[in-house]
Amino acid sequence: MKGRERANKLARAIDDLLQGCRPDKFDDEELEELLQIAGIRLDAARSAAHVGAQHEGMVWRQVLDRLQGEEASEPVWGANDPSVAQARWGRLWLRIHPGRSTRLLGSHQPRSGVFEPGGHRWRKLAVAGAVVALFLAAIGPIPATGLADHPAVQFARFVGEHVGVSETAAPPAVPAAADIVGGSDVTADQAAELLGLSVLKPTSVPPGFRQVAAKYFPRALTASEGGVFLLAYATDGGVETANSPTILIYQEHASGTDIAVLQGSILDLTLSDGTPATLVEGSWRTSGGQIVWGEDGAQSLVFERAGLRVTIYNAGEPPLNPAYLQTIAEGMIGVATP
Amino acid sequence: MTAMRIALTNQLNRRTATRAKSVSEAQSTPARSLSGGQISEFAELYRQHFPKVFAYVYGRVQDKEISLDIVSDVFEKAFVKKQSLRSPDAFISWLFTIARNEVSSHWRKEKPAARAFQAAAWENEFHHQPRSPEESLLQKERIDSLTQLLRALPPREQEIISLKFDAELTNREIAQIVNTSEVNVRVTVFRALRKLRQRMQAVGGSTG
Repeated sequence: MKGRERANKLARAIDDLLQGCRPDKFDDEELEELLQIAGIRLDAARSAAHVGAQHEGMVWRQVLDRLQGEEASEPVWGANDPSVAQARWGRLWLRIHPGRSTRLLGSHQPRSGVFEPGGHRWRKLAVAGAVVALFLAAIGPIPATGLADHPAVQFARFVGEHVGVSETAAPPAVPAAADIVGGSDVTADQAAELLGLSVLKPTSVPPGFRQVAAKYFPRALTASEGGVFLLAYATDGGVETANSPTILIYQEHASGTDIAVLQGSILDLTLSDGTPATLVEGSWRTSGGQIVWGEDGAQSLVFERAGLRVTIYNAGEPPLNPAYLQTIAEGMIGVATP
Repeated sequence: MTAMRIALTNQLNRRTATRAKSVSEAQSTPARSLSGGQISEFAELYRQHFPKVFAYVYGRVQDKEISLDIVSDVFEKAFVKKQSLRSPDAFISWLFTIARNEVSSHWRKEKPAARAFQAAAWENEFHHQPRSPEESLLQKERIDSLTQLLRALPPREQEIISLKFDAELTNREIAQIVNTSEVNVRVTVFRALRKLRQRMQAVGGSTG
């Protein structure tokens, strides 16, 4: 067989390989071995593509930021320094996947002064009173219309990359005062009726936590319609101090705006049934009359299911391992109140 | 609450205006804003082609962080220059031509001493694939061996191998990118694999 003919034969087999078909075995030993080498090379390429895909969102944000000229923004938030965002993201990743190499995520540390340690934290209110205000304080004010038309948000929704969350380089404006919205005690069935959606209930919560409230609030956090159903959990000490550990589970329609969080503070996860979820580490807080993003132990896991957006929020000392939030979410997926 | 919502909306509008200016400057064309539609359309292309562009760039530079930077540059340029693409059917060849140019540009600027430093970090992640330990070890050895031998091939052969296996392009697309014939691509792949086989045999490697 001539060289060119053999090259054509191999080329066809390689194309089959690339298409995912198993090519017929060659009678020719050399061609068979060349095809095996091609298979190894393809395997290496696909391994690289697989790992690269894990960075797809990060690179896209970088592209978008450059296209949108955000690099020249004021540095006070630290979000424009990629090393800071990457380091923050890296720590978050390591909390979820402690076995992975830190070097993969860059060795930069946050610059001192980027995160102001002393500022006033949003005063936590009693769970029974004004949890919606508390949550709004924790995640920052949500604009009524602005983010919905924002290209970054459209992309986030389009790609489905960060569920219910979009990253921002700039903090939200300082609120003059948070609205207090009263809630009423409800059962899960009543909440489902009020929301017009099935709601989910966790099958387990971390040790030491117990349910202290189940309330329906007529105003949603991010949804453009309906209210929000809240399940609140506290430890035996209750919600007495600003640092009391709390788990708040919000359920509302999966519509309206996303939650604005600082760049580099999120990690995409997949729940056991394949539902995409986004973990957010940190929260907005006030410092020196401005809102800054604080890595203060607050964390949220957001996922959407059957038209319902679920936000599991945890704050207080000591912070929970974020794996607990994932466990809560997976427990919720298994139990739906019709 | 209303006041702060308005304030943030205004802030976002200002930022959108700044972005539009940045893009228009990059294109040296009259100012136009980045619409959600443009972003969405491009996002789909990005999503579709990112893994292979990354694999191709990584195949050429063998460094994850540098690859991510280059890929970011590739898509930024692709977005900015997309209007110059006459035929949408040629998008893949066009995109990988940008990628190829970016890789070449990287090699022109690259200081070799800086590269070896970063290889180990990627090593762990790259081989952290779900396989049995034995299979993983064996495959790692094969890939490592092959990667070393590939580096000894002439640059043009390395380029074509990478476009074939990393980018998974057709021979016609490769021919367009490297400005040759399809026949030449097929023969080059054949010859390159044959060299690899000979060298693997010389160092006692096994393909099975």
